[in-house]
Amino acid sequence: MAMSLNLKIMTPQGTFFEGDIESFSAPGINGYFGVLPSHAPMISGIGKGVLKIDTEGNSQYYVISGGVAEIKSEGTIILADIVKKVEGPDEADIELEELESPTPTGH
Amino acid sequence: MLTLKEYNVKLARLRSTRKMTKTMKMVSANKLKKAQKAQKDASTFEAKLNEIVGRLGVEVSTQDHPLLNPKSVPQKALLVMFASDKGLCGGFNSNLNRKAMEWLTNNAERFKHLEMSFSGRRGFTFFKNRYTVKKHYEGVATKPHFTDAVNIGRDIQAAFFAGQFDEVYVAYNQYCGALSFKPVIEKLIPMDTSLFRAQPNKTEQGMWIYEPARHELLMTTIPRLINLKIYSILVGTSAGEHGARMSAMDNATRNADELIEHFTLLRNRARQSKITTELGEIVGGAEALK
Repeated sequence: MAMSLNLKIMTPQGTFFEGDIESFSAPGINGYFGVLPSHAPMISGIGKGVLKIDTEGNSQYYVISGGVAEIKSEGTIILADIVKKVEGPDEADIELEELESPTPTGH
Repeated sequence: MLTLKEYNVKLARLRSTRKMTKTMKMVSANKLKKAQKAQKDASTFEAKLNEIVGRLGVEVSTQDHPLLNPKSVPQKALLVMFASDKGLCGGFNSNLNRKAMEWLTNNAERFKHLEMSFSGRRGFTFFKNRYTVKKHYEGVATKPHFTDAVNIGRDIQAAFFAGQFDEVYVAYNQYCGALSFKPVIEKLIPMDTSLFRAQPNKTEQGMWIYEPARHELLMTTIPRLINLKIYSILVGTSAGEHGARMSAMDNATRNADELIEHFTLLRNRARQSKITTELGEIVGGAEALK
């Protein structure tokens, strides 16, 4: 079996997702980044965008906004303000347009 | 002394009141369970986020972010009250209103301009004719959603950046376990930089990659921390409200029980004396017929 990565997505309203996956790609603050098993420890800001989770031959898409990801060898935790499951990349684009940015920066 | 019939009417009334308070107690217990779960989820999230923020190990100065930047002479303040929509929950709202009233009186000199925002009707109706109302967020207190907190947070921050207020305070009931709460008033903006005190022993800086750099990462987190604080106040208020109502209704049920016991005794006495009188009359009547 291929190496797997434990991913947990938490929102203020509870744990949204928890499970072993192959890889994921998430919207960082300065652009998308991908994470495979045994990634170096990293803390990354999460912007607004599409989170793609790959499990054996199968991809899941989520719209995500505002948060931080902590990537460790034991597992990855994404703390996000808003997460919503979508059917595919097309629907994700529509959802993203509807989703207002929940965090004004004030700069 | 009342007649037998009057006692019976009174007892029937008491029993139906008791049924009502008991039902309300059970409904509150059920809602409390849900609200407690929401409160716990929020505080787990908050703890994890604070852990990550603490581990960033960044020294923060007040000049780093406009939300941390205090005015030398603050003159305009906003007080955001978080009460409940419904009453019948003991001193939950009245204690908070009293505390806020006290604060407003004490700070009237310091702030030339004071406005208030509300979540929860019980705070709104108490203060609406005494102070300028900036906004009343309706329908939030009963079932708070994170997007409600984001809305409130966005309004507050926008008003702060626009220079409408120099300081923003929150008045709420701090949730400390199922049946206890404490009314508190805290400064929300500008934020206290000591919240970000680095935890040097926990930073394993060499190993970690930070994207973006630690300082910028923290700066993007600050507005989110305010929204999260508001959300945790909202869920704490909702849990506290149900807890307070549950104990208030429990007390009411117990009082009703006592009254029922008391009046049942009086009713039985009245019935007995009625029987005695009737017996006396019958015996007296029979005597007279002899």
